[in-house]
Amino acid sequence: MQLDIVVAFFLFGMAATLVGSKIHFSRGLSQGLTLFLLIAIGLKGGVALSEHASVRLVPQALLVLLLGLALPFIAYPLLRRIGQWNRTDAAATAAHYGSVSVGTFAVAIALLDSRGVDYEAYFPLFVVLLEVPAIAIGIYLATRGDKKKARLDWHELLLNQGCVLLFGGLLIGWMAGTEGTAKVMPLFSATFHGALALFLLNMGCKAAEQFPQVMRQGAFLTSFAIVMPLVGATIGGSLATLMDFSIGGIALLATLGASASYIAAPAALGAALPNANMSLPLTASLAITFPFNVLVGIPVYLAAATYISQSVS
Amino acid sequence: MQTRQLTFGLAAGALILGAGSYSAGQGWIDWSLAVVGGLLLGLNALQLLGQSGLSLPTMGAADAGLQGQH
Repeated sequence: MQLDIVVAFFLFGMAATLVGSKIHFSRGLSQGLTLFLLIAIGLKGGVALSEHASVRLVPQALLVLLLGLALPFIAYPLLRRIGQWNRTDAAATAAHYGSVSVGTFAVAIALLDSRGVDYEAYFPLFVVLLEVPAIAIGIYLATRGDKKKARLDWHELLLNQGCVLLFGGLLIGWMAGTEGTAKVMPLFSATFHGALALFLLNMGCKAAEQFPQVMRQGAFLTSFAIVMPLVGATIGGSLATLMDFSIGGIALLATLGASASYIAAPAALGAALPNANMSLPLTASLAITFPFNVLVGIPVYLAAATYISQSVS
Repeated sequence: MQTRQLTFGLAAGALILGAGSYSAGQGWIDWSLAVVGGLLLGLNALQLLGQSGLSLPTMGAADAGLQGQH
């Protein structure tokens, strides 16, 4: 198995934390790295959008939106009927698995770049589209039939840092195009992998810190947090094949279907569903699904995409 | 109460192990998915053993045992 260099940093962070070493990332540095990655991904996607924008994007965007709406409806009954979780916890966790993780997306892009696999470069647009709908569905599932409705803070939901920075980067990249962004692109493209490596080092530490919580939750949480990404990846990959995406595009939509939010969703759902036990979805997405996707899932999705594309053509 | 959860985990582990092993055997992917399936199967099997009285001090089994004593 050829280990991607950025993934090696993730493993390093996990290993260091598990042996008791304290690698400290200040809150500012941690937020700075996230901000950098969001802007870099958004800018690159915006430039691609300025070159390839067409009406074909509209049905694609609608289908991707449908994916985000459908995933919580698959996760929710699994958690309710098999996991026998209460309605609020099941709905909050289902929403996390319908929403997406930009960190996972960044790792998938880095893998495709390092292996020279082409993909539809306007994919960051789909990341923005997938971030929010599942959270609204989660709140609906938790509160349907209740007389006392949950307080859904649309301002918080739509203007969360992830959405705004990604959308801002997309917009600037789209308006400025290749020539306009030429002055800033060297910073964002040349240092992208280095920043991602540091981000993953931090994530590795955070994931390992959650392991005791995983042990306390028992086997079901782990089973769910591995099965659900595979289900999401299968649906996302099938949808991308249906839309005639490239190999890289199929792998990316599979990755988005498989990823679970650990930044936007916890913040929005924590405020809207104060009775939800937020440690359940956070542990599942951060300590199990994120490492699974980074270490195993993304290479498998790419291999499956390659196999499917070759079989279809 | 946990029978459904464990059945789900065991079935999922077996399915992932089977699919991962077959795909790796065909050379499509490496063995990582099969390893994950095997770990998942083992994890659920250990919890099942713990619940059925073989008291393995692992995962939720230890907690379940302690709760039972109270």
